[in-house]
Amino acid sequence: MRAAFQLAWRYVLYHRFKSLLMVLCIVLTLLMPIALSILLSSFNRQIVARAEATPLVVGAKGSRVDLAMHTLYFKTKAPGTLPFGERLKSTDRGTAIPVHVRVTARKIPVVGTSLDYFEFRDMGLAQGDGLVRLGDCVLGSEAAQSLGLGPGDQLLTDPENVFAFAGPEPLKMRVNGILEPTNTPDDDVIFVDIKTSWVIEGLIHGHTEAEDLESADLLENETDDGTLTAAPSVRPYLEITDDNIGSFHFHGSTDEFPVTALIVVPDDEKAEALLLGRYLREDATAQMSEPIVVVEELMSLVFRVKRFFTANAILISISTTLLLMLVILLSIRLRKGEMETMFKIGCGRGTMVSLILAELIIVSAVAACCIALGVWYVQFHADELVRGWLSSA
Amino acid sequence: MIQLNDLQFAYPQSGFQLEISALDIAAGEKVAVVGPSGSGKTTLLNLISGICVPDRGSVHVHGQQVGAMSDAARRSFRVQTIGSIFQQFELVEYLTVRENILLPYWINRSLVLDHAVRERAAELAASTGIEDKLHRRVTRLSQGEQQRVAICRALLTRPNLILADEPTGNLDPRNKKRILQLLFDQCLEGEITLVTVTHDVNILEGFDRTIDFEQFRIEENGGGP
Repeated sequence: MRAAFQLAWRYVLYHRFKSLLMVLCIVLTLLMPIALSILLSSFNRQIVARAEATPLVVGAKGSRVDLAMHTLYFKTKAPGTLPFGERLKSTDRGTAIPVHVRVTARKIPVVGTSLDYFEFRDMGLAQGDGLVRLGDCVLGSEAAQSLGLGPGDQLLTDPENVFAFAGPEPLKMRVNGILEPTNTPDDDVIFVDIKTSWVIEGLIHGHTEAEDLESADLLENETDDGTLTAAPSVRPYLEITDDNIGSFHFHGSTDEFPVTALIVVPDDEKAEALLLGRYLREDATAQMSEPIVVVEELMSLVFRVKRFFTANAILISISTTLLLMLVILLSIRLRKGEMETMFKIGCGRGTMVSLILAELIIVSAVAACCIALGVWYVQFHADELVRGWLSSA
Repeated sequence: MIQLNDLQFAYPQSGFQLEISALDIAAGEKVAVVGPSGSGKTTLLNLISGICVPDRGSVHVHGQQVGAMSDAARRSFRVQTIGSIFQQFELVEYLTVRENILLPYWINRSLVLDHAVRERAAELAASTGIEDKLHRRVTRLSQGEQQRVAICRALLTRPNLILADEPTGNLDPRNKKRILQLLFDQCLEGEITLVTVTHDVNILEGFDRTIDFEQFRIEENGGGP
């Protein structure tokens, strides 16, 4: 058998292109469904874990899936906004944490939230300090790495629209800290205080006091009571500093300011049931949902689709096997002359069969090694791959 | 050495039939078998080597009746006793010269590939002038060199009998002479019986005997093997 393997090995090496194609066929046929299964399992594990860690979410009426995915992963667009004051409906029976994601900085989502969020997700700082002042931001570990920024650096938010000249201008934020890696979507975003996110949107703003303006041209009007009104040419501050922070103000009530979602952490199960009940009323202006329920529904759909893929993979495996058999049969036919010579110089039929078997074993063994390597790679990087996909989706 | 008695063999599908009443070839004799295409020359070699079994009569090689042996015994007998050389050389393209020479030892469990065999392979290569090409793939050799490899492969098992089927058929006149001389020298050195099938009447000079094969053949339906 050793000689059969030696001969077969030389044959495989000599016909390396054909052998490689056969290996590739086997590898792709078997690795794809295995890899898919591993990735799906990781996807399920991650998405369920994230959903389980987020008891309730409140958002504008619309798609429950969009709301859940927006609150959990910050990528999907929220169905709409709801007033910040909506939190007051839940604060008697739990903690409401705002999540406001509408802008980006260098394409990375900027998440406006409160300090409760970091406590709720049990997130610690790896470098620097937390959100100390208006205009501060802390970076998730992956975001910090991809931006190449650290505490003390500055980061400019992306303009909402390059053609919206009248819109709020980008804010230069101070990077105040970097969060410890959590292997969750929190690593891939920039966190700011909810008020900072309103500053970015122009709802809270700061500018030179009209009284301090030197040129009369900058003044639009002076009322009878002596109030000075700034003309539109008065530029708002694009960076919050210790010197100008006092000038930042807002008009109206923050309760009317928008948030894209609220995470609600009920005090207990009873509180959870009561809170859910509040949003079941027909006149409810917002929706509350349990992310785990939404995710389980989503995953049941995904697993239903997976069943189709599994059936497909079985069919492809069968057709590949038949194709490989055809290739082997044709190969034997092509090697008829070689087989006849071997027979004439004393090779037995058993040896010839063992020669072909040895080739099959070698090709299968190489394919098995490639599959094992592939499976190891996918298994090793599955969580990372899935997290990357979930973050970029 | 070789005795054929009252031999009859037919390929049922082609209608070809070969009949030989008696043919003796002595040990160490160099015999050329000539005849037109389809006259059964190659069939004779196949009957002697046990690849084909006669329908009637007997083939004795070295006192053993080849036709009476089992498949495995005939194969073993072929490996131990006979060296075969073919017109198309029949070398294995994916092996090197050295591996082609050693091939009978790789594919026969009854043969043991040891150091002595490897040394003999090297010696044969040296005696046929291809010692510097041992690690080259056979597809990179000239036709003359390829036939030398085939001769080395046939001689490696120290056979008593060499059956050569038009060994010079694909060679140019210069290489024809060289290869034949090489075969004769090796046969002389090892006291090997040589039965060569050929179309080429110009190479008959060095043979002890020439058998005109036309006389053994009975054609019924035309065509042949």
